[in-house]
Amino acid sequence: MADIKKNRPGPDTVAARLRRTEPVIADEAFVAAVMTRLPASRTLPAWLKNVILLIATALGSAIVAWHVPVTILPALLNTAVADWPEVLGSSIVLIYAAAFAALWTTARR
Amino acid sequence: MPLDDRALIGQVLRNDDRQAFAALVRRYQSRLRYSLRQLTGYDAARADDLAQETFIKAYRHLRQFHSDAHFFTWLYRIAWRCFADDCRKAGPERPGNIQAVPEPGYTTQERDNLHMDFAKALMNFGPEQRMVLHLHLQREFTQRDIARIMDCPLGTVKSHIQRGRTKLQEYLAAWQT
Repeated sequence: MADIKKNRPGPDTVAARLRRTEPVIADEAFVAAVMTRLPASRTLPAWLKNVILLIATALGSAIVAWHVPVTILPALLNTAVADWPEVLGSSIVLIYAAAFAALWTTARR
Repeated sequence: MPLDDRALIGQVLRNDDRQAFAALVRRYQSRLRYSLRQLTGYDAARADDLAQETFIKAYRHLRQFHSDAHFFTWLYRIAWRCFADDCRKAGPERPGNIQAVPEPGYTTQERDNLHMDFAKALMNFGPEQRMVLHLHLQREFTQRDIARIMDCPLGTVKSHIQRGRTKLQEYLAAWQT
């Protein structure tokens, strides 16, 4: 009895048969069903990105113009250039760096 | 020439290319659906639901895929989690009964019976051991890969295989001719 058990092919034999005869399941409507259930695209079209950017810039400019009277801007700018050229330069660099970082983060998402 | 997995994944990530993702689904759907049929006692409807869920999760988390791994292996990690969650929700399952009586030199019908019988034999094990046995015997993954896919200790995988083989031998005695 023990010999019979010992000589009997194990699950490996059956598994080998299964691997050889594995049926190919036709994709029928399966792929279409998966594709319709995928979440909506998260990537915005380029034109929409530009419109959003334009609206944000216009809104930001409007807020600044509302708080800072336009008439004093040239005088303010002259004073800044004359009195604190390093501060003005550093501010510009910082603004560009922040804008670049924001764009980079958005692109990675 | 068809694009390889990495190229297709790159297209999905860069341009949200749905056609590229459809190509990945088409490439692996048969193998994954078959695996899930084996794990669910050959319940085609349940297996297909799980396969759909697996592909949708794969799409959602595609950025987490590391290109040094095989896409198929990663897909199995997701499938395993979907399957384990489904088993928890569904509660206890009924053990499978093997009905086919095989003849030597089996026909197509018998071949199909063999696949169903194996799936039913697997139903006598818990979901974790069932997955281990399927991945080891039918998919020929290494024990280390199985531990990685299922996120469980290597020792657990080894003991599941060792105990499972003996039990399977009894369940499938009729086919081992």
